[in-house]
Amino acid sequence: MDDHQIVNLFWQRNESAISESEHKYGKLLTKISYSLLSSSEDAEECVSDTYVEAWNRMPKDRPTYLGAYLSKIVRCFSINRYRAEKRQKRGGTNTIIEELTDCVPSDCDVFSEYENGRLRNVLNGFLASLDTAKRTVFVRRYFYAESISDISVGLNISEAKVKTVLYRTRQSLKNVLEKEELL
Amino acid sequence: MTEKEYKTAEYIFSEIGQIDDKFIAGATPAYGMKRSIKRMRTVRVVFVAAIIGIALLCIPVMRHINKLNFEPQNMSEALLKASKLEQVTNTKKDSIDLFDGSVKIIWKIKETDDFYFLRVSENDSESIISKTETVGKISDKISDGTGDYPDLLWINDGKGLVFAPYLEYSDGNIGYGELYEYKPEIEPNINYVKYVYEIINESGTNN
Repeated sequence: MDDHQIVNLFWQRNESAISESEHKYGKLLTKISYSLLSSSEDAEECVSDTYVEAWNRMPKDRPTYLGAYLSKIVRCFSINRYRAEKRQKRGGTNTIIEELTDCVPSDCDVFSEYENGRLRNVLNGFLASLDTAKRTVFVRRYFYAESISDISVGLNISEAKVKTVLYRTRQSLKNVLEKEELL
Repeated sequence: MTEKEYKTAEYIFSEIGQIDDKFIAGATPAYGMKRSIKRMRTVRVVFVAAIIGIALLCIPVMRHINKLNFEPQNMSEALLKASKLEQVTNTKKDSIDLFDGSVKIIWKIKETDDFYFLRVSENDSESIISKTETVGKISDKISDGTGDYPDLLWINDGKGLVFAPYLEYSDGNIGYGELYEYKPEIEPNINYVKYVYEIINESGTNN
């Protein structure tokens, strides 16, 4: 079943929308959540919450890319859960965030920019400027929270190449953020 | 890394979660496929190796089966098949030493200058001479003497004596003439045909 049909089911308040979503995107959502939380149990809960959230939001939203839409939700739930539990447990997310400090000068403050959505626009512009290969590596690492080795296998390139691409892309992002006077 | 840097990075990370859907959709990993990809690679390697292994195994097996299955219906058929066996030596008639001390089966495919020979093992030497001496007595005569045979056959005792199984038993008479040219008189008995082919087929060496 394609995304459009599943979204229609949500709109019709047909409960099979959830089972179809689970069938098509369940593994992806679990993978994203597990990458962030390193806990199967927590990941399953986040994925379940995601379907409920999608069910509640859907009459209002009509996503073109259902996979991306659900991924955003599960990622958000997973990050929230991570934040709630990070003092007790630090999973792979911590490593990813630490990597992203490469983009951050020591005297920065992006909170206000974050709130008014400007950072989001800059990120979208930055991603649009990247070539497809670099953008794919960046999004898989920092949106999907995939491990370096998984990206390497998935894209059939060496882990060293993945690390190099990520490092250079982070440096480019830092330059863009500075140029935009965001940081 | 300061706490502030970490928090900022965390916000950037969080904000990456709100990037345009098309970037997210364009980079979707093959979820649930990682193991499958690895498994497929493994399966592919094993499959190719198995095919190569089976092919390598099949060649000698098929040859062996081919050897086992073939049962000649007449001498021409037997010799034609035998001339393609690895252990058989392909040569010219002048190169064949009739006095080298070893019993040999020699044959020639008609309308070619190619001769073939195979040295018979010591175990079979006596037997083939004996059977060749008597084959002329038990084989059918070719009625009009004009049989169209694609080949000719000789058994050499290694001491200069040569038997021609296509010729009628002469009981001591000796024919004179060109050794490697004669007109067949009899069709060698089928048991003899099979016997000769078996000796050639089962011989693993031409030494």
